[in-house]
Amino acid sequence: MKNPLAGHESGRILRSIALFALLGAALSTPADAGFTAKDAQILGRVLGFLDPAPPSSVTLALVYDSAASKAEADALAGQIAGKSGNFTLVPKVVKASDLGGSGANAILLMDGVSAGAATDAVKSKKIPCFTSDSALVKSGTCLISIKTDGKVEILVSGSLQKASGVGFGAAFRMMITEV
Amino acid sequence: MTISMKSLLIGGTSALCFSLVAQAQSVDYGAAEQVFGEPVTTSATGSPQRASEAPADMQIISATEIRQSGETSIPGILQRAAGIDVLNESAGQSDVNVRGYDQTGSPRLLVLINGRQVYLDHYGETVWQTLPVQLSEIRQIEVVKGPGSALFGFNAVSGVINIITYNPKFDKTNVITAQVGNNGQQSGSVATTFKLGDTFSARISAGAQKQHEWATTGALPLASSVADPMSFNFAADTVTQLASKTELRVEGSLANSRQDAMSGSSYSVGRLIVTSGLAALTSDTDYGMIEAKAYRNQLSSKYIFGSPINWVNTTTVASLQDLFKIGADHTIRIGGEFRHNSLNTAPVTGGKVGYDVFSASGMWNWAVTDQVTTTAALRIDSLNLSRTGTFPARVPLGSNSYWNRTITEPSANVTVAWRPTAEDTVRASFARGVQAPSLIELGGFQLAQTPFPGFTIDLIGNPNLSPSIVTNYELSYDHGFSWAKVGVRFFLQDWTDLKSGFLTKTINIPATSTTNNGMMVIKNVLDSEMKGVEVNITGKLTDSLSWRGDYTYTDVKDSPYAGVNTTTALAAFQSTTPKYRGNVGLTWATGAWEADINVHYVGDYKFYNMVDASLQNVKAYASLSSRVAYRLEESGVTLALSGQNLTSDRQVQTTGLQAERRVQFTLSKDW
Repeated sequence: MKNPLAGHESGRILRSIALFALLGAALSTPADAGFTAKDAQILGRVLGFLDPAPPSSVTLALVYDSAASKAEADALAGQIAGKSGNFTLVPKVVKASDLGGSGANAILLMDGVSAGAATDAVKSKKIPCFTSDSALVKSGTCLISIKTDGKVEILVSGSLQKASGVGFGAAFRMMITEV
Repeated sequence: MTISMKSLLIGGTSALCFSLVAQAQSVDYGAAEQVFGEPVTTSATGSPQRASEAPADMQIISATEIRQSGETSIPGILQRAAGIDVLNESAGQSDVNVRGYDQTGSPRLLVLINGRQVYLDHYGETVWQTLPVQLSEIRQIEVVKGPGSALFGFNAVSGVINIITYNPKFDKTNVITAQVGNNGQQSGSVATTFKLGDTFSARISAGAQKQHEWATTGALPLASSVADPMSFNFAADTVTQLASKTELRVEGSLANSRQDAMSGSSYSVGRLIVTSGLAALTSDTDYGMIEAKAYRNQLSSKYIFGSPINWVNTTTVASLQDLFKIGADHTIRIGGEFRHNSLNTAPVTGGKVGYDVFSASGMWNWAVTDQVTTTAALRIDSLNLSRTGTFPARVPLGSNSYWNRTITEPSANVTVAWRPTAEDTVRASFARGVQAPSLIELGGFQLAQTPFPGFTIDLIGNPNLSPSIVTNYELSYDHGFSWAKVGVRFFLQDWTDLKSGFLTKTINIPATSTTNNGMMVIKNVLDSEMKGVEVNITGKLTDSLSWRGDYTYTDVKDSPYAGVNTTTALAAFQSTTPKYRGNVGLTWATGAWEADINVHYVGDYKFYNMVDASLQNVKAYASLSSRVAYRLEESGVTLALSGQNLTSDRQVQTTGLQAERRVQFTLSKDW
């Protein structure tokens, strides 16, 4: 039985594949353009996999802490209200310092917003926090990041799941990346 | 759940584990596909995964592609997938295999509906008309290329076809279809889902079809060896939510089918009644997704090989599995399975052959880094063979004690995947697959031929058959351009102990003073090696116009055992496997209109002559299929005109009946 991965010809094939893959890596351009309306559609679908499940009408706090992030929240609120998956999204623009009393069922952090208040809300109110910034998930300060530019990427904070009790069913956990 | 608790679970459960067939109906395929923008599957590892991340060479055919194809049968749909060989031998039956080694009664392909086997276990073949599923209720067809027996067990040696239906718990689908066409084509089907309260949901489907058989054009097959194909199928699928995270799934099905098919180098008519029942309990617990499942398939068959052969084959399977994560990076599946399979002897009755199989299996998926994933699966099957009852007079091997035998074999799948970017995937994989001998080969077929008085040749199964083993190496690369997705696969398969066809023409046990005049026995007759390459590409010219193409080259080299004539043994795979096959297609969809055209190409190959079973050339051919449809959005009514083999009245695709042009008009309504 010949080993297909050995020998001169196979080695050339391997090198060719690696070269193409590296070329693809070099040409790819990562993009992080904040949360988009398309991301929000995915957010609505992701809500359906949450455990515990949120109510069918979800008040989504669009959290800002600066003029720029408020402008972003205002613009997004106008785009995402309505049906998303099995849920109706009710966007509510909320200042970060007011998050505790917002009555939100879910949190969406605008670009550059400090996640401290959101982290507290996730833990105390057991509601999910969404962001487009995967670094906030990796640091355990926001629960879920969504990126739909190119291949859809969903990152979930394992530590915040444990700390908050907000998480996903076993099947969905196997299709996402937990960090 | 803590790691220590899971470790305890692994230890505890492995001691009593029983299971493993991938069952995924607690996965909401539709919602997950909408989240990830691509299909999800469980057919690669038993764990739900995004199609682009599955550690297997897999192609998923979507419901939209099935509808747009206009194909009227599952083999017709499958031959549009890259690397799939289809022997179109009659209007109602085709034999399908992955990457060569196709043969009549193709026994190396595992076919499942929602994870339950629907191939016929007496020979391991699939009679497609008996599948209790309507095309309109299929969410996707998952085609896994290469061995998968570490996940699915015996028979998953060339590949796996897992047909995933809509799930009444998550999906709402109601479709009624009526179809008429030339050559007596008439068919109708209905598939509907409904809910009772918040906890019970069901899917019911039924369909019937008939058409004229392709015309007999030569001396053989005789008109008496063929029959117009017809079938009726019914399926019921229910999901009951017992608790917030626990569901019970109960399924039942019935198929009543008549079709003719090539058997070796001749035709026979088969009348098959297949029933099945399944119950599966799935619970999402702190210890993972636990599933206990049991099902029974029963086949009552009557084949006309000159005289009738009546077989009753009962397969009972019980399984238990647990699927869980350890930390963020490790997904584990452990399980076990028990299988009982039995078959009466025929046409000489009086005996019963059966076996019990105990299996234990495990899978470990490790996300080593963001870019590198490894997957390893291992399964051990232990088959305990037995036989009871009587034998024909003066037959060799005339003692049940020859059947007291155990076959124990491991299966394995190992894959390393590297994704340097979101658009690039490189996979290297190794697999060892095991094809157990079928019950027909092990003695279910028992025949005493007396061509003239006083001279009798026996043909019975062989209890000493070894399983066929396939070792598969594969290297693949996929890249997504802005304008197209391209995939390249290099593969090499090494087969040992391939068997002769069950209608072998070789007398390989000579007469003795205590036996009749010799015996033809099914034997392990050759090793074989196949190497090949597959290229597939899909793209879009505009938002409404997409295109696709695939090409697969295979080169098979047989190594027959001493004294074996692979032609008379009906195992001449080097000659009967085409070197080339491929597809080119275009799909246009805009507003209410849909149109699709596909050309399927098969290179030169040889197959068994109807007269003397010698090898006969089959010239390369290209078959054209197409569909155009218009949908009345407000009423949910779709009108479609479709056809297959459109380039000529009849086309030589095998050494048997010639494939005829078929055209259909279809009226369907969904609500």
